Amino acid sequence: MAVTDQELVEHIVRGDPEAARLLVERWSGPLYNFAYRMTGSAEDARDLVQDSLLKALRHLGDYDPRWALSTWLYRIARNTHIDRRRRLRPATELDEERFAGDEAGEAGGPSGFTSPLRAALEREESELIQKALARLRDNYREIIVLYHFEALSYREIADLLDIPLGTVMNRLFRARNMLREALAELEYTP
Amino acid sequence: MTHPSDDDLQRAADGLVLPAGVAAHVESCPECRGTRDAHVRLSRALSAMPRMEAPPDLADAVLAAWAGEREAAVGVPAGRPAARALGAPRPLPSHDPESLRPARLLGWIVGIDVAVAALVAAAVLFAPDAVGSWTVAAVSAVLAVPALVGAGLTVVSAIGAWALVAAAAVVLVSSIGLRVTLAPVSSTP
Ligand SMILES: [Zn+2]
Repeated sequence: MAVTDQELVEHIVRGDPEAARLLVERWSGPLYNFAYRMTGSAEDARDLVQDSLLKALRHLGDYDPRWALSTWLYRIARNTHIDRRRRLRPATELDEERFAGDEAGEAGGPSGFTSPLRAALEREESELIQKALARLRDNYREIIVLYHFEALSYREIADLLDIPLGTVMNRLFRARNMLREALAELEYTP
Repeated sequence: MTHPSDDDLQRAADGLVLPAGVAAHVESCPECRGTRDAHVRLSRALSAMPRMEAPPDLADAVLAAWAGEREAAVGVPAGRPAARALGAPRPLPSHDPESLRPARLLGWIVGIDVAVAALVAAAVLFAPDAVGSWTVAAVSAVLAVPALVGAGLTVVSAIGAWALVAAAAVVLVSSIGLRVTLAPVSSTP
């Protein structure tokens, strides 16, 4: 049976570097996907994940095991993203141009048995969605990313963002309608 | 029946169970069904987004950076326990733990002053005739000087603390001298 996150945390706090490696390897993927969808840039996503995981390792003693480790890690990544964004720059149209470039080059690609045409269509669709996402404010974008891309439940998102369950649903529903409008502006209807 | 809210239709699209009456309306109303299905299509499109793979060297970069921090933390002289550096339980105050602790220093100041005061009080008690009010005033002034100087310096640095200790020691010695000088005088009827 795989080692639980909680067991890994205990081992790391006791000074086991191998546990730290397992934890980082386990969570760098999900956090990177989250970070990429939030920033729209491979470079920013990398920096964001690196900062977030380092913060997590430094403050592992503060982790409260009543919550899932994933909730805690996403929260760190989310707060780090907000801090960096405040420090660096506001969202610009430049970001949108970068989305297309990054994704064309780096998307994992659909599975093998889809036709090249279908693959191209799917890639185009995901690029449009990423563009539309970039037009949303951070708090709307993050809730879509957490629910649809990271597959967190309403409850987990409520814990992560420290907001009531009803607020999660209201915000998610509004965010989806905004995304739909942004997609319509890009002349795309799913 | 009026159409249910868009929130309800989104709940339905997310797979939540609606009240029976609302669910029945959605199934029988082409408009509501259309809206719900549009929400479902958007959700599916979002779920179909490719997952972005973390760069292969990302985990190594994080672990190397962390190992560097740990080494720097463990490398601090005084040999702090490694567990603290590894676990990093909570941010430590910015000052070095080996440096001056104001509360402890204050304890020393108060202690020394109390001891000196007790000695002088004893001298006054045993030689009430000889020790006139001028002597008490002089002793008080002598006592006040190191206390004030010490308190001021304490704020600045640990050097102040040592100066204070030295000053207090001088006062202690001189007050003992005073007591010895006064004693024979007081015993004279
Ligand atoms: Zn209806």
